[in-house]
Amino acid sequence: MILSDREIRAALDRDAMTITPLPQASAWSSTAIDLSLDRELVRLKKPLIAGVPTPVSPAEAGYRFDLLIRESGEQITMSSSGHVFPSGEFLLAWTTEKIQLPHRSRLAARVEGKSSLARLGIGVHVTAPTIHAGFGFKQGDPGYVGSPLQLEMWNCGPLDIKLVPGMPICQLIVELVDGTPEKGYDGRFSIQGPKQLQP
Amino acid sequence: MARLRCKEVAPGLRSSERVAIFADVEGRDHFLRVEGDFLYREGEQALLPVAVVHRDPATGYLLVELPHEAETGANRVWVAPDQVEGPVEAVA
Repeated sequence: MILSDREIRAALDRDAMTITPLPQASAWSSTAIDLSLDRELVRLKKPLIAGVPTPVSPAEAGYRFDLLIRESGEQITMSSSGHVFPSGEFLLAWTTEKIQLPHRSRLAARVEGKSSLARLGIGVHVTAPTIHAGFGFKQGDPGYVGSPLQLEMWNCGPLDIKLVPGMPICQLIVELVDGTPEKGYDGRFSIQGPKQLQP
Repeated sequence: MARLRCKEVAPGLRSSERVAIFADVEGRDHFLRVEGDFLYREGEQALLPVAVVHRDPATGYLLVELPHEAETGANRVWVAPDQVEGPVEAVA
């Protein structure tokens, strides 16, 4: 079930979720809240081994993501004048707002694009819109206000598009989780662990 | 909330971000990009907030749910009990 604006406000009031900073009134619609673009962007370049572009193999056991991003991540910090997002390119980006969804709240969310940008060819996620219950939640640390949402942005349109920090970039849709997640040990679950290894 | 001991923390894609690195019971390393201050710190040791889903009675291994999907694609991983600190009980 998708939460209405009134239900989202109620969830915020009872700390069932947090959004920091809280978007201004104009960012709200009946079933979603617009979130804004942070000034930091990352462009991924093809990793080179001995000067030769090398495929990335995330499914292999020896995959080292930390080494990949050290070689392939190019950070871009937008000035207030923005950054031109060329047609055909891909960027990682983040929301300015930080989100927290405590497990106990039974809330999950989705990040979706804005139709105005979609009509220009801009997508904000690559088939991974779900924000699971527990996202950004750090128990016992009231100073931690949540995590920003990462966006996988692509420009599949024919136009180069200027991105500006703070622009409305995506919308957050909040959903109620039906039932209680299977989370927590009570010793009665029937699922079994890996048997081939002993601790 | 349970805390998973990280074997290493590496720089992330941007200045505020870190990559928490931890192994599952099969020895495979997983990589989770988080905000740096999302991690708990105990001296030099970094700990990742996780939720315990299940404890295997035969091995004692814990199935933990990560705060979000790791770069290896995992949302839940089996870890050894000595990798986890804090209460190992229901939070729902």
